[in-house]
Amino acid sequence: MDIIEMIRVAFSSIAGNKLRSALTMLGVLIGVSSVILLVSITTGFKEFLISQFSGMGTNLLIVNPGRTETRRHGGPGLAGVRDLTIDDVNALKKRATAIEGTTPLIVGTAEVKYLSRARKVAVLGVDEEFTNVINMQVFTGRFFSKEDASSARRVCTIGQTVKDELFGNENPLGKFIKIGTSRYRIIGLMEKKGTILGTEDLDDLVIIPVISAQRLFNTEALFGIRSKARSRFVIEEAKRQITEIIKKKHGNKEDFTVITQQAMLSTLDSILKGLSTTLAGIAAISLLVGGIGIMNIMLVSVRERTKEIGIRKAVGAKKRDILYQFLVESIILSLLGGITGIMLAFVGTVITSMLVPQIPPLLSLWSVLLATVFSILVGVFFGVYPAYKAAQLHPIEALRYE
Amino acid sequence: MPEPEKRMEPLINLHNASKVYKIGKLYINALKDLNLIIESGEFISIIGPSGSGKSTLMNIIGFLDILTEGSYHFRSKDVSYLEEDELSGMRNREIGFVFQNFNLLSRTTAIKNVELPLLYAGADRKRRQYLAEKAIETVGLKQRQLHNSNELSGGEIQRVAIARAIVANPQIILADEPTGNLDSKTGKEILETFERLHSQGRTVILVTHDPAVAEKANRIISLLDGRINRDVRK
Repeated sequence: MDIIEMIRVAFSSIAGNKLRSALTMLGVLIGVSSVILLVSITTGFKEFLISQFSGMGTNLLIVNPGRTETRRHGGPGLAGVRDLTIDDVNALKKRATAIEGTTPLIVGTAEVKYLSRARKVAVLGVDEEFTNVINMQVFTGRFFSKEDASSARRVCTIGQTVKDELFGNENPLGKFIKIGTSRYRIIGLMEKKGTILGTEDLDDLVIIPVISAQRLFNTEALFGIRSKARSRFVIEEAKRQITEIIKKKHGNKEDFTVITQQAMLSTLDSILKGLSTTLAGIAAISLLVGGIGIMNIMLVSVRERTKEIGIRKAVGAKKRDILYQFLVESIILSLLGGITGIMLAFVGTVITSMLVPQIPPLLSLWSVLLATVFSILVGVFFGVYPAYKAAQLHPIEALRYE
Repeated sequence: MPEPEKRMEPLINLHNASKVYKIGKLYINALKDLNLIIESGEFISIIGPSGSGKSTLMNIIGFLDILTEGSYHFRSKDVSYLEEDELSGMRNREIGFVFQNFNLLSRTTAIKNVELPLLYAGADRKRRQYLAEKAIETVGLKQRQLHNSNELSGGEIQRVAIARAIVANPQIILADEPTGNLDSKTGKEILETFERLHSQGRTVILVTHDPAVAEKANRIISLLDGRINRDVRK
């Protein structure tokens, strides 16, 4: 039998029961749109997290004191762990060829005062390569030079929030602020970075030379070291070099940890993949329920149209003609539900991105294709049994049915 | 001698035909050892009270059902125990049905109803349309062909059904009480249509319980309790 004629018959049957068809499609519609919407939202969330992490700078390597995986070398607690020092940083700068920049890092909080205004802010102690390693640039003024860093001059750069809170509309460059007990001259204003993951405000900080920070916090130990690999292809090589160089300085003990940004990203990626699969799976259950709805309605339709099946068989329809006719109808029902579901999901992503503009959902092509294929499969799977029942009807009994 | 040889090959040859239905635990012998030969081009009425086996005989002749015992030869071919889909093919090619309660598809135009047998015969769209228009013209309904079946009168519906029965040019027109639901004037027109189809060379078989209708045919077969009671040729 002619496929176009079958599609025409299916549409006229669907149109003949508009409300019922619409309600049946609703099941598939909700299933498809929730699958697509949830996948889009998690994909958007993932992109957001990745951009937040890469916002810190690409090809970043993080060196932290202590072993995170094992304490075998250190005995109980962190007793045997040697601190990371400026010496380690200098060794890296001199010998690690896969690295194009390295900065020591000290993090603390201190009270910062300008005239009568005071604010407790995060204080970073770094050296002149900081802006090269971490993706934070000076907005006006300048960052400190190698001389500033090594001679522990009392100069600093401040973030936008600190500037707004302490200076208002005043130009902070060249002004002196009090950090802890010492006076620092402001030489630069950092560009606005916003928050990372909605918590830490990267604009609410003051950056000073690392040696000044060591004095301020009265410590020789570094919070950590940050390095940047020359390219993303040598990240593993850079990690190997850093490990070797610092290990040598620490008496052949690996009492520190090197983390690559990529390792962090791939961990993040696998967590989100799991999350998105779980959510899509839950949404797929509603698609299953939608399929059962289709099967239900198709069974009703077969019963209602028993007479029609009898007439068709009397004039020569074979079993497969009837089977295909009802199968085409259930596929079209399901597909129409699927297509409207895709459109609804599209509207949903637009609304979501208006409500949460920071984390816009990403409508991916594969989720749309998958949903389309899935709704066809639902139509076939849940349409086969009713269509088979219709095909098996005996013509005489079907004709007699009122 | 070619003449008698031709008669040796009847269109329909039922030999010792029996049909037993099982309803619950009850067995009903709808046809009992029935023998019937129908030649091509005959105009036959099958008459009898309800329960006499008229409908069963019609279903057997029309390939809607198969025998329990005995044989059915159609153009010398044994068609007694064909599979369901083979029977569908036979119905499609050889039989044009006209039912008492019309049996048109609802929500479907007259022309689409007439096209139906051609659809299952595998004719393409153009050919279906051409033949359906021709058939609907034969029954004089060309101006009503795009109306849905629920917009037509009883007589018009039966004429659409006749158009559907002749569209694939089958050898046999099998009509089950075709005038049963029509007023006498319309019924007369319908019967005239059957007479015209017969005069064009088709085999027409009318199943009826109305002696006045049966009178139109050239041969009247009376059934009683699943057997042929009388077989009268005019």
